[in-house]
Amino acid sequence: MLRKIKNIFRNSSDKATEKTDTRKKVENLKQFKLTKNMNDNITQLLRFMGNSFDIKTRRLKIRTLNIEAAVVYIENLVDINIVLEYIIKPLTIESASGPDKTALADPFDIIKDSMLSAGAMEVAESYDDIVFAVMLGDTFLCIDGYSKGIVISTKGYTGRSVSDPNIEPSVKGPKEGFVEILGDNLCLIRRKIRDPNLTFEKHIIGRRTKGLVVIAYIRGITKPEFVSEVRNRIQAIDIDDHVDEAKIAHFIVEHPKSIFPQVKTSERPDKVTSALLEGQVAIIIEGLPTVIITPVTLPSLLQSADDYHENAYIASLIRLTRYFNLIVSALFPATYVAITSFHPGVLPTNLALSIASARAGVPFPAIMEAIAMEITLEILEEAGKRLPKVVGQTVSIVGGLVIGQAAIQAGIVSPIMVIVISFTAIASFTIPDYSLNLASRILRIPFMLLATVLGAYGIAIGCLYVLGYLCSLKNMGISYLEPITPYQVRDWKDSFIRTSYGTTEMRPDFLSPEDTINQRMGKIKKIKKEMEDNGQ
Amino acid sequence: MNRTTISNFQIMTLAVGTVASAKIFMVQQQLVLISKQDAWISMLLGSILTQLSAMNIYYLSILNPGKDLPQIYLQNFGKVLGRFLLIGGIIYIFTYICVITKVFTEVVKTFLLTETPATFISVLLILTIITVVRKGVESITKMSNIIAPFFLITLFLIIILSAKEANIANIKPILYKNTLNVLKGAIPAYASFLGHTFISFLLLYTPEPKKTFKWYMIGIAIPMFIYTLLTFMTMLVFDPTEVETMMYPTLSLSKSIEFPITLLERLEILMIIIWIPAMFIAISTYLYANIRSIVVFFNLKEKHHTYLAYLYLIPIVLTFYVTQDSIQTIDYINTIEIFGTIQVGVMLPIITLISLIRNKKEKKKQKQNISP
Amino acid sequence: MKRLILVLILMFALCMTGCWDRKDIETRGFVLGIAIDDYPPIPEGRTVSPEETQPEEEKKFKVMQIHEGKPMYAMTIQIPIVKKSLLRSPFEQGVESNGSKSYELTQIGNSFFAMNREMASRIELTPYYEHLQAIVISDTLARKGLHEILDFFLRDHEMRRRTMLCISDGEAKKILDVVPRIEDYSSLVLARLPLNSTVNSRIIHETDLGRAIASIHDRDDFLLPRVEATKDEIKSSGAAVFKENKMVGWATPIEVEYIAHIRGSYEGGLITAKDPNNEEAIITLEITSSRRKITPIIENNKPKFKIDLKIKGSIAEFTNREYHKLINKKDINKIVKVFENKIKNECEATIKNIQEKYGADVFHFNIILKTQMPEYWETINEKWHDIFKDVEADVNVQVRIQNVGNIR
Repeated sequence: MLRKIKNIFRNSSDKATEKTDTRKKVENLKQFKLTKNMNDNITQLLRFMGNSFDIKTRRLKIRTLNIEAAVVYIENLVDINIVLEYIIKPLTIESASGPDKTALADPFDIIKDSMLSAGAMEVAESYDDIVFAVMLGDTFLCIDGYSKGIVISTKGYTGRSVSDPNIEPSVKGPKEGFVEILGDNLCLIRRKIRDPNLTFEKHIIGRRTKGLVVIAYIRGITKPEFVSEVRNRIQAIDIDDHVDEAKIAHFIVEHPKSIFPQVKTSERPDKVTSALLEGQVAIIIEGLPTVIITPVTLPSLLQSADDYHENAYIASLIRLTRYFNLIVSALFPATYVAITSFHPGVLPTNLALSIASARAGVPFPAIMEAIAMEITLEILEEAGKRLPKVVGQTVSIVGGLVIGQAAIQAGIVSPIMVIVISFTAIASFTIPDYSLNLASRILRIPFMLLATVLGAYGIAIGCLYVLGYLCSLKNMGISYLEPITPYQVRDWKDSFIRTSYGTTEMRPDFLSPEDTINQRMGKIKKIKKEMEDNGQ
Repeated sequence: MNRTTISNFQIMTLAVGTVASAKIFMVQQQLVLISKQDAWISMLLGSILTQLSAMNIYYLSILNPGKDLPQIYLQNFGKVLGRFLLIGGIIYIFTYICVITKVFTEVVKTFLLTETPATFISVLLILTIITVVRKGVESITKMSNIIAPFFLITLFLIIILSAKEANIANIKPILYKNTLNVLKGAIPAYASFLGHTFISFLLLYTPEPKKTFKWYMIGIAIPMFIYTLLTFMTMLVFDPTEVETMMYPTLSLSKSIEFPITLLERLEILMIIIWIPAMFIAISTYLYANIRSIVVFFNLKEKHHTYLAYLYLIPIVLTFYVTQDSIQTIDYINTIEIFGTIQVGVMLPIITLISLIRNKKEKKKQKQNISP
Repeated sequence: MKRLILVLILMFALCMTGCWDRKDIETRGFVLGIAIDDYPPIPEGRTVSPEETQPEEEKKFKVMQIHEGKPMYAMTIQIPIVKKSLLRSPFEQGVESNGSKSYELTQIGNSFFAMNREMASRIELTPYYEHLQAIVISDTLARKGLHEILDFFLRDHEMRRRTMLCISDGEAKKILDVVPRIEDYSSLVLARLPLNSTVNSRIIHETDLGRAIASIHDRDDFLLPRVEATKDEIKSSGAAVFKENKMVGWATPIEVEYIAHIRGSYEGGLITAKDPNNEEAIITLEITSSRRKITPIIENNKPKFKIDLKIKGSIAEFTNREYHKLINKKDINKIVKVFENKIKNECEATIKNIQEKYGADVFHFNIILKTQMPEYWETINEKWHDIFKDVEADVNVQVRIQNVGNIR
């Protein structure tokens, strides 16, 4: 019976399909190779690419070598300047006059080595590579009489330029965020780490999309087992659709269905580079401004970039309040329901009487109020995401007035409930990681239900269950609550509190980095000693 | 990465959680019935006895490295006699779990939720415990890492905040014609710390068993210190005739605190809410110990562990229909504790002796094998 | 898969069953104060209770059907009317309500638990005791014995041990009927009055339920504050003296002061005396701390107590004094002697007074004997109340004046 229910949710494409022809065609490009006839090659290539109108062909004649050639490129993907100036111009104009060089060497080699003044190029023979390269934005040069061609790198994408990161603003830190173009992202990372051990590995994922995914790590710091595990799992992904960070996260982590995020996503280069320097692995996806960092623990999800720009004590205090906010965001409405409906003896007498008088005319029981306000909050948050900027002001005023004031005056909700829910909402937005924020929001409802049925005992049992669940989450051998349990006081320097930079000499231990020393205090100590000696 | 390892610090917090929580609400009443105003001295004596017993068990586990308590029984006594003695241990832990759950449900039902059926409360607790125990002993120790500090801090707070009400006259005269009673009272005090035997089940998971000794002893000493302080404070604030009438002296202590700056009024509800996770840890450890014992007893395979855990639900619910009211529960606890005290206090030293003799024999055999 | 089934079962179970304990906060009737009276009401010779002049309609619901026995107590509870103390919204003007903001209900019966539940049949809110502030007991009932009526308040888990106990002179219900001028509910006034014992030593501080019951269990004698009330004011004046379990009489306010000195529970107050140099001037000494040390001495198999009082104070007021005369050191010494004598005489007089009138050991001499001379205490344990009447007390007072204020 349950199997039937499951079958309903299953995709119909899981069952056997007969639409495998095109897939076979697309797959088997490998077996097609270039022939010596240029025209045939071009026609075949255009046919493989569906004869789209934006694939341009430019036929050339190279005078000095007396050869015909053709250049194929996709107009909108290439940097047209390079194609014109450095490929077509040398082959046409500059080779128009000059001695006959046919006798010197193989014309193909002459063209490849001496005539073209473009950058990186490769020799290609099978349509598999050629089609992919043209799709990527490279230019294909086909020479009559040879069954091999040249693929020249000419990528010139248009995309967003580097701007402020949207969801992770920082007060003092750099205001650069990743963009959708892979090259720009890699540039941002390379600018911050000039270590030659920084390694980028390229992988191609997606049958129809052939998206590029880059694994970044620093050789000599990162534990090699992490890298190999990530690599194996990524190479095992076999989907049609374009790959985004949710799909990669799903395949990398060990508990993909859990609501707690087990990878960190970030839009900021400085966050990614500090993660790399600690010994984590970063995965950069083409077309997405978010970069995945793995393996990750719950305390590291609660770190934000601003912590590192402030004084140690201030930053520690702010970080501790973030832990408190996480708990408040998940538990505060449930605590309110539990205390007012089950244990009003806990409140001081005056407060109990004011809450009772505030709720005196309200027709709904506390739990209904709480659920109604929670739903309203979710609606407001969703609306806020999709607002066009022109309407933004109206909705916030309407939301505030309608929900807040008028509902209280009409006697539908009590003012205390509005305070509780707005406090919860604000607390939940202090969580730096958006997925963790969503997880705590989801947890509100089961806790509220538990609080309605069983009061404070229900909340205690719910907390124990969630805690037990969190304690058993493990990713790549690192447990989710790592510096808190198992207990390693040395690692507390960067999780609960942030100690001053004079003490962060070693890298965090839970990632088992191969190179553990982070900061060498030798010089500073010498300078200080000198200053002391001189001062006296 | 896959082998469970428990660090030394986790042993310490697990000790705090297991030993400190079970009878913290009721132990003063039992002691005062016997030793009147010197109940705190009995508690102190009981703590010393427990320390000795803990050293005994630790030594036993060191003598048989890599084995936990049921396996030690089987190895030292042979298969049949060992199993026979093991039954005693299984029955004791099992009945203890049932009674402790009953006490837990009673306290929750009296103070927090009066109308909810008791079965519901206890079933929910046991289900949550089973889901955590199934994931292995590592989850329990990690949870204890987080929970134990909060529990300790709350207890300290209660002790410190009730110092305002203390009145030295209540514990005087000290040891006036009372010495025999004080000694008699040390036995229930010792019996309330019987949870310290868990170390024999977990020592094999630590990376360096010899170094765990210090942490283990600290972990046992902290709850005993707190229990003694708590008894001392209870005797200071209330006098003996009063404490005899209280069912839950610690909660009455929390009730009598009135601190004008606190945010909340009835601190005993807060105390109970913090006590629930501590009881959770204690019952989880006992449950784990019991499951291991049964598995070794019947020679079951690893994967049957988890189903066995679910089976526990039935007997625990059934015990609710055996013990009817709260006074009877106290009698049951006393009986079970006597049984447990004999097991731990008398039998375990005997086992250690036997184990020691066997070890020496084997060492002699090895020397004889090496020399010729 | 199996986990899914388990979760589903649990969720169904949660939803199908009820939320047994859930009770919204506005459906609970917070009982702020309880007054316990005798029933039938006070006999003639005392003031006629307003009960008897009440219209018949209101009296009707007071009586309930009891399972067993005859009605012996009348319990009045005070429940706040929550709607009258609504939070003011910014769009309305503040509404002054002149009437009482609370509702007092009386019920007659013989079991407090039964009376409590019977109230639930007369009011739509469920009575809820976790915020109980004060319990007032009428003196006629107190004279019959306290422990018998307080059992409910100790056994129920909702009660707090810090509820204030007071004894009222006359009918206890009148105290709750007071509509105070500043605070909203008279129970809150009753609960907060004893907190003023740091400035006025005629109020007793440690008088909550827990301590009273502790004293009863221990067979000690104790004091409970006496309250009397007019239409809109409650005054705490004097104390009721309890001998073991029963009240035996009233102690005047000044006697309460000196009892506090001897007992060691003095928190702060004052004492006035005549100026030795000038008959018409009155010196007021503000006492900041009073420490006592009692040493028992056994003479002829009878105990005798040597009480040493160390009092520290400052001169608070010098009424009617001569103009242009500054205080100097000799004056201070004289003043100190005056106070020492006065306190010594008054203390000894109080002890004799209490011994003769009531024979109740409110000075806690028995605790001194119990802790310092346990062997002797064991021999006279049973007969203490008889022996107490003949006990001699020798008071030595040492007064130290710390400062004289702003002016000389």
